[in-house]
Amino acid sequence: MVALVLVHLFLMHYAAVPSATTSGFVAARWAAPGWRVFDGLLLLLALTHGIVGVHGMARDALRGPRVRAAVDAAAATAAVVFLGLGIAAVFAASPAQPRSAGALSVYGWIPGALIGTLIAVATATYLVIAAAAAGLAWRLARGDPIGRWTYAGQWAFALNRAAGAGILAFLLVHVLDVALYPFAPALYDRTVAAYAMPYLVPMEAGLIAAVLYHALDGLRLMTLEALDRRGTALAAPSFVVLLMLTVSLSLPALAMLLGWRP
Amino acid sequence: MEPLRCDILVLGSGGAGLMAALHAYDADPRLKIVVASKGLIGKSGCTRLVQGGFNAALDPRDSADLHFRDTVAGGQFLNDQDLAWALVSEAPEIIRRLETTIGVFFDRQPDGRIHQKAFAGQSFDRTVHRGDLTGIEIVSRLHDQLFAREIRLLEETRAVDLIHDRPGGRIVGALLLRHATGEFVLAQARVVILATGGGPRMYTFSAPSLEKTGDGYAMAYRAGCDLIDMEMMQFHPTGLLAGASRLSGMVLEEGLRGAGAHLLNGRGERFMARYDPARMERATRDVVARASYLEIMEGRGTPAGGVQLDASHLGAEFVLENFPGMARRCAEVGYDLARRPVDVIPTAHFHMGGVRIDPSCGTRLAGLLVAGEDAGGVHGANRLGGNGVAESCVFGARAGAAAVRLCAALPAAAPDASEAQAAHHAARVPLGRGGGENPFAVRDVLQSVMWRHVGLVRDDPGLRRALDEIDALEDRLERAGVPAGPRANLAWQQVLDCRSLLTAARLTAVAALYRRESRGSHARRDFPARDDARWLVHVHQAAGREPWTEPVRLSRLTPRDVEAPGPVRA
Amino acid sequence: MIVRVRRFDPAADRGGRWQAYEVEPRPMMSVLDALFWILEHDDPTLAFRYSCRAGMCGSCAMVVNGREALACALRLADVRAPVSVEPLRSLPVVKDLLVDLGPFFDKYRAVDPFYVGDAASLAGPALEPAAVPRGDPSREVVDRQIDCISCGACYSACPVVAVTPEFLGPAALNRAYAVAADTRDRAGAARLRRVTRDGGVHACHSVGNCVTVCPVGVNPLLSIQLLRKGAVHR
Repeated sequence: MVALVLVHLFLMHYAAVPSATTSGFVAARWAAPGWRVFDGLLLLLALTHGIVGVHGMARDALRGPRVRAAVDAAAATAAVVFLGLGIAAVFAASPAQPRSAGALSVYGWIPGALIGTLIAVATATYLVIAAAAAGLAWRLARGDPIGRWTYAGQWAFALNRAAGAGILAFLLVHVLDVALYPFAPALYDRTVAAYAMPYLVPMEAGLIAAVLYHALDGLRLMTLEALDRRGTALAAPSFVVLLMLTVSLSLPALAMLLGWRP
Repeated sequence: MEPLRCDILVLGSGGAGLMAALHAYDADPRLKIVVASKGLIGKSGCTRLVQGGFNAALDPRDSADLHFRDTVAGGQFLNDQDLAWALVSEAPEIIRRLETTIGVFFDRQPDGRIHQKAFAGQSFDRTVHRGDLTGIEIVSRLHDQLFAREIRLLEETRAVDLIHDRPGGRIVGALLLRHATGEFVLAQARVVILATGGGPRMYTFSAPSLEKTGDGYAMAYRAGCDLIDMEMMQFHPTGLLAGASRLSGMVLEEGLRGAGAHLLNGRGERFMARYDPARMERATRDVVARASYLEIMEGRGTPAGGVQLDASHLGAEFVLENFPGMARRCAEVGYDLARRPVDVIPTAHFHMGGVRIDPSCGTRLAGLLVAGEDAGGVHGANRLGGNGVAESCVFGARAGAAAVRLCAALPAAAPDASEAQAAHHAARVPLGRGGGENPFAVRDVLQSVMWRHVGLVRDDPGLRRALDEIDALEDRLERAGVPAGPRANLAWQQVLDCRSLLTAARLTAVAALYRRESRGSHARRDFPARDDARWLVHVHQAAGREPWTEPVRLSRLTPRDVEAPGPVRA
Repeated sequence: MIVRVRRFDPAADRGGRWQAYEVEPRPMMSVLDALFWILEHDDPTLAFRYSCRAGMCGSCAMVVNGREALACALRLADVRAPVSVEPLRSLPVVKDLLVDLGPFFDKYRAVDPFYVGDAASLAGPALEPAAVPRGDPSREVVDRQIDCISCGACYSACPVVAVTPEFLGPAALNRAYAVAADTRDRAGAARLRRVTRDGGVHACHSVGNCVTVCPVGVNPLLSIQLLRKGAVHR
C-alpha cells in the first residue's frame, strides 16, 4: 500500500499539479486498464486503513463499548459506500473521454458544494493548527509546562494521528470529486480547477506532507520494531530524520503548487 | 477510629514483613492477614536498599558452622547464639525458596549455579546477590507474590501504638494512622508481627530510607517489651557526602576499599596508617569508620566536612566496569568516582540492638512477635555485611510460621478501648496548634546531638549531655504545632517520627552510657578496651525500670573456641 | 531560586493552582531536597511522597518541567528555570504532589505479575534453584527488564494510558513479559492470553515515552513489542 501511495503521490504532485488533472488527464490515464486496477486497489487499501485508524481513535477517545461499536459500524458503512462510489467511478467510466455531459451534469451546484467542503476542511485545519500553536506559545511564554509535548515520541504519535485524520478527510472528498468524472466531466473539471485556489494551497501542501509523513512513519515504526532494543534506542533520532525527509520531500511539490515547473 | 479485625497484623513491608505475611498465608490461607506499611508496600523498608547481598552457606565446601563462626566473631561474642544459629542454618533454605517459589533471580556462575561473592569478615565467599541491586530484586518479587494471595494491604498506614487486651498481658492489635486521609484505624489481631525496621535516622548522616525513625523500638518499649544492646549502632565508613542533599549518608559499597581504594584526610594523608597500619583501608567497618570520624572531629577533615575516598589510581576503566552503580550515584551529584576523590563520611547504618526475642520471634508480651531490624541479638556488637537481609528473610519467615501456630492457641480478644483512645488523643495533640515548635527543627537538633555525643566515639560527659539534650527536645516536641488538616500532613507525621526518634535515641544513649567498655560498634574514649570478664552481657532496658544486664549465653561457641578452633556445638 | 509547585487539595479546592516558592539553593540539592526545604521552612501543608531518596524505591516520581522524573535523582541545578513540579499524570491526586497509585497497581496486578514455581517446590521443601548459565540467551532481555521499580513514571508519560482507561500501561506489560519469558515460570499460556486481550499489548501505539522516562533503564516498549510479535512461546 505504501508503494501505491507513493507512486500516486509522485504522479499527482511531482509529475503534475492537481489542478491539471482535468478530465482529459483522467481519460488518458484510465485508457490503460492497469491504472484502473491501480486506483481501485489504492482506494480499497486506503479506506481499509482509514477504518482501522478510525477504530483506533474511537477506542482512545470514547469510553462506552456501545458508542465505540456504533462508530466502528458507521465507519465501516461509510467505507463501503465510498468504496462502492469510487469503484463505480473507476470502472464505469468509458475508456474514451466521455462526450456526453453525463447524468449528473444538470446538478450544477455539486462543484460548489465540493469546493465548499474543501474550503471548510482547509479552514478547520488552519484553525486547529493556529490554536495548537497559540496554546503552546502561550504556555511556553508563561513558563508553564507543556504536558507531554516535551517528548519526541509524543510529537511523532500526534503528527501521525493528525496526518491520518487529514488524509482520510481529504480522501472522502476526493472520492466524491472523482466520482463526478464519469457522470459529469464538465463539473469534474470545474471542481479540479478550483484546487488552484490560493486559499487551498497551504492545505494541499500540508496534505502532501501528511501523506509522506504518515507513510514514512509507518515504515519507520515497522523498522524500529524489527530492530528490537536497538530500535527503541533509535526512536528519537529516527523521528528527526523523518521530519527532515518529510519537509525536504514536500518542498518540490509545494514549489509546483506555487507555479514553479522543473 | 475505624475498627478492623484480622488474625495476623504485620507492621512493616520490608523483607521481614513480607516474608512473614507470605509464610503465614501459605501455611494457612484461611487466616485473615493484614500488612500495614508506613510507606508504599514494597517501597518502604531497607531490604530494598540492600546493595551487597545475602549470606548463605550454599557451597558444599562452606557450612553453617563456618558462617556461624564468622557471624559470632564479627559480633564480638555479643550475639544471642541461638538466634545466630537460626540465621545461618536456615539461610540456605530461604535462598532456595526465594528462587524456586518467589521467583527471585540471583546472579549466576558460568555453570548456571548461584554466584556468591566475597564480603568483609567472612571465611568463605557466600554472599548471594543480584548485581548491586539485590534488595530491589528480592522485595519486588516478594511484592509480586502478594498479588497471588488474599492479603489485605494498608499502604501509607503507620502504626502509632501497640494495644493491649483488657488485663494487659497480651498485645491484641495496634492503632494505625492512614496518612492520606488522616484517619485512625483500630486493628484487632490475634497476633501482631512487628517488623518496621531500625532507627539510624536519629543521626545527621545515615544510610536508610527517610522513614526509618525507630517506630518499632518506640512502640515496643512503650508496650512493655525488653530491648537489648541498644548501644550497638553500626556506622558504615563510606557514606556519600552530597552537600546539603538528603542523599548524603547513602552507602558507597565496601568493595571499593576491598579493591584498593584509599582514604585520605583533608591534608591528603592516608590516615589509616595511624590507626591500623597492617590492614589500612581494608580494616573492618568499625575500625575504619571510627578512624574517619576521629580525623574529622580533630579538624583534619575536608572543607566539606568529611574525608575522601580515592579510587582514581585503580584506573577509570576498572572502576567503571566493577562499580557502575556507585559511579552513577556519584556522577549524579557531580563526583567522578573513576578519576577523582569523592567526599565520604561515616554513616549510621544498622541498629544491632532491638527487642529481645526468642528463636521463634516471641517477646515477653503474648501475641507480639518481632522480626528484622526491630529485633536485637542476632548480630551482637557488629553486623557482617550480607547478614542483614538474611536476618530479615529468615526471621520474617519464622515469625510468619510462629504466628500461624499462635493463632490456633490464642483466642480473639478485644483491644483495650481506653488505651486506644489515649494513644489516639496523644497523637492528635499537635494538630492545629498555632505557634508551636517546628518538628523538623527538633529532628535537626536531635540528629546533631546524637552525631556529636552518641556517635562513633563516646564518653561519659558527652553521653550525659546528650541525655540532657534529649530531655529538652522531648519538652520541645510536647509543644509542637502543625497545620490542622490531618490529611496527608507531613509535618504531623514528622511529630510522630520525632516521638519515636527521641525514644530510640534515649534507649541508645542510656545503653551507651551503661556499657563501660569498647566492643564492636560501641567505642568509649574513657573505656577503650574490650572487657570479656565484666561485659559479656546484654544491656537490657524496659519501660519503668533501670537498665540491667543479663549474661550472654555462650551455648555453641566461646571466645576461647575461636582461639583454639573446634567444631561448633550444634 | 523559584520553584513552582502544583497545589491541589481535592477535598477543599475545585481545581489545581500554581504556587511559587523561593527556595534557598544549597549544594547538590535535588528536586526532592527543594520540596523538603519548602515543607520545613516555608509551607508545612505541602504534600509529596518520598522514601529512600536514592533512586531505588520509586516513591518520588513526579513531573518536573513537563517530564517525568524521580525527584530525588534530579539535581535542581540540572533543571532549567523556571522550575515547575507537578504530580504524576493519569492518576488521581490525593493532595498536591501525592497521587493515588491504586489504578497503576490494579493494572499491574491484572497481569498476574507473580512468578509461579513448580508444584513440587510449592508443596514440599524447596527444590534446588534452576541452573541458568550466565549469558543464557533466554535471560538476555529479561535480566534488564526485571529492574522495574514501579515508580509509575512510564504510566504517567504514556499518552495511550491517558486516553484509554483499560490500557494496562507500560510497567504492567513489561512485568508480564519479564515473567512470561522467565523459563523457570510454570504459569502456562494464560499469561499470554491476558496481555493480548483488550487493553493489552495491541493498544500500544509505540509512542516510546516510557523508554525515554524510565529512571532505571528498563525498556517497556521492547517488552510490549516482543509480546506483540509473539517472541515468547508458551
